[in-house]
Amino acid sequence: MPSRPNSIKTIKIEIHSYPQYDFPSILEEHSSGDSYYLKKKLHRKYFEDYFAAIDVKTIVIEDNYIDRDFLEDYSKYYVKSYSDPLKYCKRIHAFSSSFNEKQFTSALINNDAEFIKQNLVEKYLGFIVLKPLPEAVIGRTCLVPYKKLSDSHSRYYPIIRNYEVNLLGIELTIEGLAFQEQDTVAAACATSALWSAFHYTGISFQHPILSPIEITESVVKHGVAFNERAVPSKGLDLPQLIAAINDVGLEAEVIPVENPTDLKRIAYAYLKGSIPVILGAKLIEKLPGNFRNPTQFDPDMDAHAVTLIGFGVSSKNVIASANVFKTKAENLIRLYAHDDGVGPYSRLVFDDKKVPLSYNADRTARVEVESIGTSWYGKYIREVGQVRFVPQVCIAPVYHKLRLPYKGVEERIKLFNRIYRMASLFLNITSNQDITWDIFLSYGNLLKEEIRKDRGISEDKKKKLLKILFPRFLWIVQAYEGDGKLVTIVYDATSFERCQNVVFVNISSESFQQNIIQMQSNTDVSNFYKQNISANELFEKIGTQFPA
Amino acid sequence: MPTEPESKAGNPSEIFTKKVEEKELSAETKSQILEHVMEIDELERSISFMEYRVFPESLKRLVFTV
Repeated sequence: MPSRPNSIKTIKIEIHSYPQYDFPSILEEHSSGDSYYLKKKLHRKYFEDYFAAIDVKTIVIEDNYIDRDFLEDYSKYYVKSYSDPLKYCKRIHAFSSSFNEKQFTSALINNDAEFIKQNLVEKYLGFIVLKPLPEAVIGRTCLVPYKKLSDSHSRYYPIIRNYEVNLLGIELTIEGLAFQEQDTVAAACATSALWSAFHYTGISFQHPILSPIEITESVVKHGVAFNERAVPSKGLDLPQLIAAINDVGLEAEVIPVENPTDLKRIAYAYLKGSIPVILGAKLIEKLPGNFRNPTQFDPDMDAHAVTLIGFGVSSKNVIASANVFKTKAENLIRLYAHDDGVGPYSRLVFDDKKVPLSYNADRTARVEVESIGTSWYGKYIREVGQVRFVPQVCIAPVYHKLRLPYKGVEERIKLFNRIYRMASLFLNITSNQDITWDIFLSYGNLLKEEIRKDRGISEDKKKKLLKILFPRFLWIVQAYEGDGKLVTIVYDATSFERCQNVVFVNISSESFQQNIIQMQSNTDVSNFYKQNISANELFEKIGTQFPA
Repeated sequence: MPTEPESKAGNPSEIFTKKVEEKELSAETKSQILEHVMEIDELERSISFMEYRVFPESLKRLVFTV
């Protein structure tokens, strides 16, 4: 009877100073990728720049690493190929401290707690798994987000979580969000975007975190037809993307995006409420002298999906003052996305540039549309920033109880804002006219924490407010004039749309409330706004500071 | 069939528009108010019919392949 070989598998560890041993060398020597393809990869340049930005000084390379996500893809697809790759990956750990192999080994053997804490635990920047594939070598990657201070903007990454990592018995922690590139076998861009989003929602809403091939399979399970084979995967359409979200027990809030300003508002509202947003966009390649669609993209069909996980807010106020409806979200100057075509935390820049996209009615000329800048390489000019996104749709994977969508709240506030402006002109009210709105998702417990910390609320009122049973999900709407807050309106996000859903109003400006009361007491104005249930609700509740 | 009094007077926007025309306001202010009234009617319809939930056909044809 044949016996199992009596061999023990071992892990080989290599330690290198960085950037003396640079990222292209890591890829060339430690991935099984074909050298020709590796040299063409944008990831190679992106990670090189990113490692410099987060100040990597030492890398530890761990071989024979079994990655759960790749193992799933391997067991369901690659193992059945004639020329199957190995199931073992390599894991590249990054540290912002300098140490060599001798110091590392000595600290491990002698259990040097101080060295381990100071040089490894406190200086850990994350890891990249290198998959044993010929081209798509970047596997599960968890790196810290870039956080260096900037004079021009502040960075926010609401969609990051802790990952526990074990390196030869040393417990390391990294706060980030998992990224990986598509292999176009188990996963396409939309699958990679969903996979990153599920890494966050899986923790916040407690659902299983599927591997890329499991996501692709889940779409088939829901009976959503693929025009071509499901695996190898060439991509997902919108119904398939929705089906994958439904499969983990979440609902997909699908929000068409009209323009970059709309994108800022939608992304900010959900991201601030700790919900990742999948952005679907068309791609336009920049060519010398003009813009046109590159041949590999069909302008009417092919699109790209990325996971939005953060945003950058301008230090200066850049909101267009002429707008009737202004929001704080307009101060976003960039979004941060896990873009499988670029890398983790890649920038999407709001730079007010237009590109020609669709043809006009008689197909004689292209219509110019607003677009956002990316870090993509062009197909024709291999330089960063050659491809621009034209945002089309946002998909927010939400808990089923989050029923009132952002747009439902935005439209209500736009309506109230218009009536307020109109009534002010009619009644010659001149105070509190330059209003900027802040609309974002929040939670009952967070609101109570804010009420508790708010020094502007009296003790008696705090006692009363803290005893209110708030719903789990809330839409917070705040009106500002300059830096001064006028009012906070809280909507029940678990409510349905055709009802009154304001659960709490807190007035911060007496003059604003007096304006509302003056509008309420004028029958011409009040008869006008009473035609709409949501506008009437706001006037009534702000006029009385609900609950009284 | 009897006509309800509100129908004779018109809808709230028409009634308010008449009040604006009657009120002593500058032509520019009246024009600004009427522009707001038109926008309010649009928003009112969007909220009533939940138009913001309607997807353009083009979205249904998008395939995320790149």
